[in-house]
Amino acid sequence: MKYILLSVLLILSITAGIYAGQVELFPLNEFTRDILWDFRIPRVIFAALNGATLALAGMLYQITLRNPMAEGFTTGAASSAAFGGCLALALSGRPWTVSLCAVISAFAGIAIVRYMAKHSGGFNPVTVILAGIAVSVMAGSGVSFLKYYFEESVSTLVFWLMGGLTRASWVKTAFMAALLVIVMNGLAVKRRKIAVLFLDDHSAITSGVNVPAMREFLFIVTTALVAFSVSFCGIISFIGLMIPHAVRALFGHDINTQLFCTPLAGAFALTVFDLLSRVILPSGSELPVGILTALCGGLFFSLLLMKKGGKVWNS
Amino acid sequence: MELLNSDIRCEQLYFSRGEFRLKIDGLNIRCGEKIAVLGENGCGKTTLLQLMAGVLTPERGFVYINGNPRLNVEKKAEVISYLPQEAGLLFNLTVYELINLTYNEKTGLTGMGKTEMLEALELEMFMDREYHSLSGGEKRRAMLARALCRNTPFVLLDEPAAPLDLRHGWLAMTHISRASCAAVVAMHDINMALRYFDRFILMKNGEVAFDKGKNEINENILEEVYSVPMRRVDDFFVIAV
Repeated sequence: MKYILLSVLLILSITAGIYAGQVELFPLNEFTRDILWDFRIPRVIFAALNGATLALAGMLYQITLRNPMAEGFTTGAASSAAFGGCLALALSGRPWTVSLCAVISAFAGIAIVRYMAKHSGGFNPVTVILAGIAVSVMAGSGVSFLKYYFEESVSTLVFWLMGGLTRASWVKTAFMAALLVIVMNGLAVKRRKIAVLFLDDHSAITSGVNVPAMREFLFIVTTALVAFSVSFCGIISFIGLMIPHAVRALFGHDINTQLFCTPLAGAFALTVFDLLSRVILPSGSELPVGILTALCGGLFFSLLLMKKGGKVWNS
Repeated sequence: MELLNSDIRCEQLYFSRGEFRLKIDGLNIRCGEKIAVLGENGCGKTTLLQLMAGVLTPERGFVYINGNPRLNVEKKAEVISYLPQEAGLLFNLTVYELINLTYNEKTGLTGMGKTEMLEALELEMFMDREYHSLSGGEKRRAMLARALCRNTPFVLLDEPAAPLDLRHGWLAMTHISRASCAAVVAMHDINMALRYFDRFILMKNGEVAFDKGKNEINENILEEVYSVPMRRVDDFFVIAV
């Protein structure tokens, strides 16, 4: 039932997203058909895929690190990606270099987090979060330095960081789709073992799950999700944190609900936010979507917290 | 059938943590045995169970499971089920979902299905209740059911009945003692242990002080283990003050 509801919502939001925008496309003619096919449709699908990816990443981080605040930022992945992206943007500015640098630096950041966590004994979730925040802060300082040093490109950097889906293309869309399909497939196969991580470590290990290895596997997969998403569309905040909590509060806590509802809900949310960002300004220009996700997401989440406070997180 | 002839053997185990040292020269647990592990707080009961369960690695020595000292986590889990002293659950699953997380229908050694297990521990009315809405004792029963439902030939239980009321403690212990699996249970209630268990491993300062049958337990042994004067009253042991 919940899957049908979310799927219908997603299809509706995609349809609306394709229909509405700054340029009136319908009825179609030669010119608007090109816009529809080359820009509008890939962009809407790209938004849906990124929403799904970010939400899924947030959920996986929260399970892996047993922490309600875990998401791309608290683990250092998103900020590291942002730093790499900004560095490439300031130095060269070619789109694929930017994406590549963002992905590489995300993994470098996570490697540091992993090293710090392992160095202090095992893959302890709390240590990982603290190490992640440390790396995140350092990457943030790096970004500030880049803004300061490359004064002439500060507006480019700021705009890139704000997050947007304007850079959508069929190639990127296909890439994200492939990534998501592969990851979802792997997670669906391993979902019984992932669910065992809900138990305390000792119960989980003695139920046949190699907990440290499983955590690390999920951590790396999730980092890949965050890294590619940030490298393509900058920082779209709050989807990763908010959607998993919303799904749990509204639909339930079992692994199937979390695993399949979270990407659907994330896709729906970002498609809606993207549509809003394109039509909300009367001037016809576009608002960076990160602003909207943070504002509306924050508001929605505050309401959810007040209404379902105790039910959002249990451990 | 191979599982029915299984055993856990500890040889020359050594483990240290801060000031604490655990030394076990040799300890053998055969299938079907009902063993109570007793001793003061901090004497090493939990550490011993954790070493056997494989969540701790000994600094020296080996734990042989069916003769194999290097079973991987997955294989080990087919033989041993473990209930930690503080079992925890992330997220609010129902009791039924919790038990299903690790339910194993393959071996069926405890001789009970899920439903019978839930009935035996009086959990059937909680099946659809959310775990985190239960009381402490109810949570403990749910976690105990989860561990037992894995149907392994060995169950290691760390104070399974500590927060249970009289009747549910009795139900749980009766159930554990009747199951066909071997049970190694760390606990404090000596009289309850005497009623349900056949073999007693009494620990002191990280070592096995006594490894005795039920009929060999007397007040002298208990005095030495617990450093408190004991007296026997009928079939019960009480503190003699």
